Amino acid sequence: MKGTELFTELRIRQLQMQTRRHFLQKCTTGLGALALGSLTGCMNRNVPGHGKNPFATKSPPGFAKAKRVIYLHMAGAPSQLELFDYKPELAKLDGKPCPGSLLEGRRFAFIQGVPKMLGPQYRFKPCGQSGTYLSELLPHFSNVVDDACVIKSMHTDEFNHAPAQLFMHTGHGRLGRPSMGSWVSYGLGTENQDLPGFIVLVSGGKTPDAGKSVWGSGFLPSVYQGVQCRSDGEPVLYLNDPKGMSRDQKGKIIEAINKINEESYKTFGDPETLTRIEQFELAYRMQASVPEAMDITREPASMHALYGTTPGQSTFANNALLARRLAERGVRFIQLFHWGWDAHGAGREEALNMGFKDRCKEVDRAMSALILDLKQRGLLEETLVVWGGEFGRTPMRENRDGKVMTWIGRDHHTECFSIWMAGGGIRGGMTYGETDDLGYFGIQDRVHVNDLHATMLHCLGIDHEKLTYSFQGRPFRLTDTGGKVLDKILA
Amino acid sequence: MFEKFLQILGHFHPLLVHIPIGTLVLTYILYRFNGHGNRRNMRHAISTGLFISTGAAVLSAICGLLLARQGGYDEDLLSWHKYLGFVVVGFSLILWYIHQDIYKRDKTFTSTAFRWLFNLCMIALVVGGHLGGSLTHGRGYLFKTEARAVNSPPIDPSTLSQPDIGQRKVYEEIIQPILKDKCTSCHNPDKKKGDLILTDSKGLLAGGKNGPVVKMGDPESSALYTNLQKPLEDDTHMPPDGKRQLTETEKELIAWWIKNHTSFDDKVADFPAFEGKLAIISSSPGQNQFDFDLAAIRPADQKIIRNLQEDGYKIFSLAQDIPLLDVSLAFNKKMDRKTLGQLKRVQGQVYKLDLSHTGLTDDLASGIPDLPYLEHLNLGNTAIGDASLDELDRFPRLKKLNLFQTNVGDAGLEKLKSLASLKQLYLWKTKTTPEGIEALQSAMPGVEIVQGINMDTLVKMKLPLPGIRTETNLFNDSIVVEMTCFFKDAALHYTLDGSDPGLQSPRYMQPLVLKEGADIRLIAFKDGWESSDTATLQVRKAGLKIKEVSLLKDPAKRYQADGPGTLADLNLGSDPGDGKWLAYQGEDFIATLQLEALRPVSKVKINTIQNHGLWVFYPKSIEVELSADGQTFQPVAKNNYGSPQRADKGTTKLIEVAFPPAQAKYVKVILRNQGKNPSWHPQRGKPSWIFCDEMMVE
Repeated sequence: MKGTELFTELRIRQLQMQTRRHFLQKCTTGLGALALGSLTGCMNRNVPGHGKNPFATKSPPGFAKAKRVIYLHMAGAPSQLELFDYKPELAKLDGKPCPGSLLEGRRFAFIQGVPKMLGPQYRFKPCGQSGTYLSELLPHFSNVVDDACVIKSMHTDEFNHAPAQLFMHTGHGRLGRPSMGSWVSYGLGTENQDLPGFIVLVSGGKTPDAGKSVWGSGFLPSVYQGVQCRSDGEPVLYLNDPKGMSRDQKGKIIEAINKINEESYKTFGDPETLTRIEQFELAYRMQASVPEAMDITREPASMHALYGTTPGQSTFANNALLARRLAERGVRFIQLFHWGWDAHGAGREEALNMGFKDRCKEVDRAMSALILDLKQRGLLEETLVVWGGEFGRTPMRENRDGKVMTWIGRDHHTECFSIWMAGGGIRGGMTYGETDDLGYFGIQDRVHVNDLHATMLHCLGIDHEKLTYSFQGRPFRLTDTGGKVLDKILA
Repeated sequence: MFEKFLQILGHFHPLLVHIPIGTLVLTYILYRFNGHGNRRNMRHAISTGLFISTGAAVLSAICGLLLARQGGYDEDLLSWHKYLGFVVVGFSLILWYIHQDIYKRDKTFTSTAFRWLFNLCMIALVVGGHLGGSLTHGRGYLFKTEARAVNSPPIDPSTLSQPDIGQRKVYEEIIQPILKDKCTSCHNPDKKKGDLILTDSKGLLAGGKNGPVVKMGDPESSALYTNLQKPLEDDTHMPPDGKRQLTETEKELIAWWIKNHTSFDDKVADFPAFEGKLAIISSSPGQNQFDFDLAAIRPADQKIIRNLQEDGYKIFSLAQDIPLLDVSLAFNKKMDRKTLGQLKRVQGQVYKLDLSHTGLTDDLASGIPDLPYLEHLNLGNTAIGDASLDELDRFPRLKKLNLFQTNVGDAGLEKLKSLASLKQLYLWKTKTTPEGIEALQSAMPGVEIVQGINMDTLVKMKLPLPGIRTETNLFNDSIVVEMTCFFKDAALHYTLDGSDPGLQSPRYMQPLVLKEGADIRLIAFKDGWESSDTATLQVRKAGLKIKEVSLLKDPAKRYQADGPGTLADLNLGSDPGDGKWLAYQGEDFIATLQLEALRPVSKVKINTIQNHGLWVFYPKSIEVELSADGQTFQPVAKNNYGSPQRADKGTTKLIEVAFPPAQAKYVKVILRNQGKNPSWHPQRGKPSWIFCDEMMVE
């Protein structure tokens, strides 16, 4: 008991010895560093459009073929070898041990030892006038393949889902960078002032592994982050007025709050205050416009028959139909996520011979319908549609823990995977890039994720090297230090 | 191996050279600004400074010599840089020696020789350093500014197809600017990497140490071109990895030039047309996107644009330096003559106009002003008809016309034939006929006509599951059943006896009123769709109204639901966890039901559930006792059900107990618990549960 008191006494005495002088003396380095940080641009006040409506429609710097993007992300990474990349040679090697040269110095997520090669699990045939090879799992897509450009030689730097998804959406494998949609709405604003410029729709029962950062705004003002809308129930949570409050009352409240916020902005100049003001106003406008835009029951039966929608559920088909409604209404970047493509073969749902087929059924009709529908409305020419996962799958069968698994599956693979692009600014009916006979490496016209981003921005009339944002003392871009526009696939 | 090591060592020169520069300057400052270093405490610092400077200068000189051996530098500049470097090394060595000497003897520090030596050393340092800079960055680097670097504006390749470019020189105005931009920072007369100079035509023809770099007429044998095409990892790839690379278009331009070159005075017109893609070089809009002169278009006044925006227009220019406008009123609720009339204020700039999804009519359409530069017009999903198409000749450049979901018919198509520049036409959901479209297509073969999707190419879709709606699934007298489907025009066919419904089954027209329990099954049919899955719902008649329920004991804490009344709330549960059940563990379930009055009673129904995993089993036996006053009960029935079977995985079960009719106001129901988990159960012998959520009396 006595001991504790002594210690307390000691501590109090010690604290009494600490004067303000001590504080200043000991903190010089820290305070200096803080001052230096703000001097070198960490607190960036020179945001373009600072003090203006951040969503005001901006003219693209260059001539733009596409006005907007619909990005269909297949979270979990679909196997290119079962969909787009036809490898008859690989079929001949089915079940044979993988040559050592392919394994040397490589790391896989799950494959151990010497795995067996795995041939294509489905039949392929040339489709459309372009004769692009497609698997039997994409019967509907064969109707629109002449509008799409299939890129078979994509490659990425990351081989696990979360970093690879971040890389695909933000151009960087770690947290903290803005997503594509944020960059685009930062660069071009939005056409429709009553809807968010960047809308996210999720299906497949799970958000992507990388979490909501894949539609985050990173270091850009947070007003540019994606707005997730639900296709089931209220589209945007907490958007409706509470019971007993009229829209006029709500309008007055927002007006008053924004006046206070403007005062605060004048005093402190924090750009996040502007974000707050803009978000209140946008939310108010959205109360009227979002329920209308997000209500697919307003579509005629023929549209439901086309997309294969089931009203009232969060399906990919519903989201695809919504994407078209939003594109029509001038939303700049519409991002769809469909989860469930991680076909390792570790369970029924993630097996190439089981769950993978269901995933294909879920997306094939809807994504093809989306293209057809955009086309018949004259929207496809000005809408860039991109479909793809975050990486590819190995030409070897996965042997988790070195064992033969019950279900058939493939492991993560970064060296090559397939995506397709269609619409605004893209030349349809072509295949770009080639992979080797085993579908292991891209051997011709390899396309890096940065190149994809550069090309997408190019279609929107943006030079990817010029769309920058100054943060922590240096300008950043979506493609950071890489990126090359794929001029051969441009229309 | 050793040679390689020496080479790498040489590369350290640019790094090391900065150390003696820094330390010498610092020492000089300490010396000059401290009364020539006379203060005693400064002497040590100066001595140390000179020592470090000397050491670093020697090291960097050695590296410098190794680097110079690799060649590629202007000889003249190099030798001066070398000699001055030696001077600095030598002087600093002498200075250090003198200083040590004086210091040791502790003389007063006034040596004039020392001072002048130091001054000279600094001069040598500055001049030598400057020469080093010239070697690395090229002569005249110090005073070069951006303005001087660009003295002749090169041709923008995207304008190559224009006639007035024809007389401009290919080499001088296209190729040389590319070389200057990407190559000459190394291949210049001062630096001469690989003995190659690319700043003029002479150096280009002379080639480098590996021979000539261009073979005119054959780009594939010209190193100038092939080295650009090698993979980036290749050591002979140019420009080296890390430097700014040529764009695809620039590479193609170089090939184009080498292939067609006859002399350095060739003009663009002498060459065959350039076939590479030009889109990349100028992501800024080129004149080539338009077949008219952009310069003739005056940008619209910003004030007018703002006015239009206030009127509900979405309006912005096609690109930042193109004055043409993209104008849209799509989805705008306000659509009147006055709003449309506003377009007149930007009529010289409108390039795209979107009036789709609005209340546009034929009458209003006549109010659209003449738009000489309009190329894209969208009138989709409006009420316009053939009459509006008369207005189209006021848009002479119209290329893309969207008429989807309008009242345009074949007569209107006739009018389109006069649109000479039309390229694309959207006719989905119009009143046109296939014959009309075919006639138009043959009259205008160059026009792409987009119609609707041919749904036959798609597999039929299954209808969504129809819904059966009732207030509850248990009722006393009667119940109203509604049936719904997402599509109002779908045919709903149902059965009430649990058999599979089909087209021959009764069709649902209006809400049904059921007086008896039923197994409802429902299926939806619709033309063009595959029929839906079957929806099912069971409704049950509850029998006599129960006024009050009392329990002998409180049920287990987790399963109290809404109290004893739960047993008579006409709401059936489906899962033990759904909060509609009362339950006891290891004990019997004893409940007394009070009817509204003395009634003849002949049957009791009990809804119960079984779930092996949760140790929940059906009752072992059920006993029923009747009473008129609630005091004395008369047993009327006892049914034994035995032990639970392993195969009977169990679900909800409605158990009926019948007995001879008798008058009663109170009915006591005793559900005997199994007591313990059966012997086949993984947790055998543990106290088991009994669940009940509803009791009915008839």
